[in-house]
Amino acid sequence: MKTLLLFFIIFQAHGASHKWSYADPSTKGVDPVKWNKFLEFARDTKSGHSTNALFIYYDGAVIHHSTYNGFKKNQPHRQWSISKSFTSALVGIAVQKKIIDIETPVKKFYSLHKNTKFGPTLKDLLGMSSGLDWNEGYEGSPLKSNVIAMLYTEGFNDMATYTASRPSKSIPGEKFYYSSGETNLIMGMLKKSLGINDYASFPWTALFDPLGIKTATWEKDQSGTFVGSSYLYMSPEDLAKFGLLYLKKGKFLGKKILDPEWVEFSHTLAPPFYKMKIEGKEKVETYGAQWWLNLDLPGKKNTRSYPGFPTDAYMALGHHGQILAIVPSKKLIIVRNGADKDERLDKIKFFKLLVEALP
Amino acid sequence: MRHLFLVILLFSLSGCKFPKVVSAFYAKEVCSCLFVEKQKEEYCHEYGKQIIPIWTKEIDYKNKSVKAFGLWKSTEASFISLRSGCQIVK
Repeated sequence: MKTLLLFFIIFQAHGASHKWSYADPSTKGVDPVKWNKFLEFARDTKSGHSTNALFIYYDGAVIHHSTYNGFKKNQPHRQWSISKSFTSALVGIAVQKKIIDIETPVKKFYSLHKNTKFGPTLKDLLGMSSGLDWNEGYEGSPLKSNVIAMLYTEGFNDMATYTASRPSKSIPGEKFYYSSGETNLIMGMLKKSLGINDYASFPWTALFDPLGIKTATWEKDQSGTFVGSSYLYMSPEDLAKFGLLYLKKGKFLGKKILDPEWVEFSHTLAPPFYKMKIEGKEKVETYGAQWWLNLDLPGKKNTRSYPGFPTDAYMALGHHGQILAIVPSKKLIIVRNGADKDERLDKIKFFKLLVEALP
Repeated sequence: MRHLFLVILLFSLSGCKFPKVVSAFYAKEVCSCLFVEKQKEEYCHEYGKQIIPIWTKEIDYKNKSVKAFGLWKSTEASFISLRSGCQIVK
């Protein structure tokens, strides 16, 4: 009886730990020839891309978990913009705890540029439609890039303040423009809502600890704001746990972590896509609340980004080929970490080959 | 001629904030690569490489910090903690 009581106390103190089920792909009906074709492409070093880790969960079990290039399974990997989807989850938890409301105006916490007539809200930031002028170029346009200025020069000490001070270019909620600054502004609003002490532990208490994520590092700027756009690190397996949370509609080990409504909102097309005028053959990738989507745009001749991939797929995508994809209709989670510095992974081909191998 | 053009370009850039990127990117990302991702120095140096190379670097394994100097600007990034990783400090 005493042992049982002790076990109960330990269980309560540390929570249940998640154990993955593993299965051979063939037992799940995966086509062996097509599966090998997919793996050969993913691991192909001649193509220029460089895969460090691959973790595939399908129909209730892990069917592949490998690392390459000397990378170890429990080693933290930089996730770059995958961080944005974690930021979205933290906002979701803060909303359900009534710490913040998505209609909160940015100006409640940050001074905006003097030319700003209509200030954006948290909801506008989640859908990347603040209307604040921004250039998201990376290595290709370092002189004009606001993201590089934010991370390394003018804005590195307080990224949210740097972003808020950008001049207004369009009416909030009207136009989608992917901006890492907006995610850091979200993180700044979260910091000011929670208070610096609760905020510093919030990603762990609200998300990482309940999911059993042990390898997370989240870097901050000098003002103490997590760099929600870019600087989260964790192992591929821990990243897959975050994917499982979304596949299970906000539940993990049977416990609600996120409201299912927030999970749904996360991969619902953001409002600006219903208002934007898309010219000619212009290609527009669809977006939810800090998650990429794979939708055909409503009423517009614009096909989805990944034609061979289901329309219910939603993705967290990071610089140099970081991928977390969730496909509810296939009960599928894909994690791919890479270091594609020389040539990008062809994600259209990557997703297509994988799905073609599944029954 | 190409060298002269490069020198003029570098001098014209030295007045704006861009030159700081060269040392800042290297110091911050190599610090994270070494002390957060725990990758090898050779891999991290390759990761931190840009079109314009840094001029000097100093890696302090004891204090977990990386200093870089390039385009007349220097930057230091330090490992703060396991949870907070690296940060540009100077």
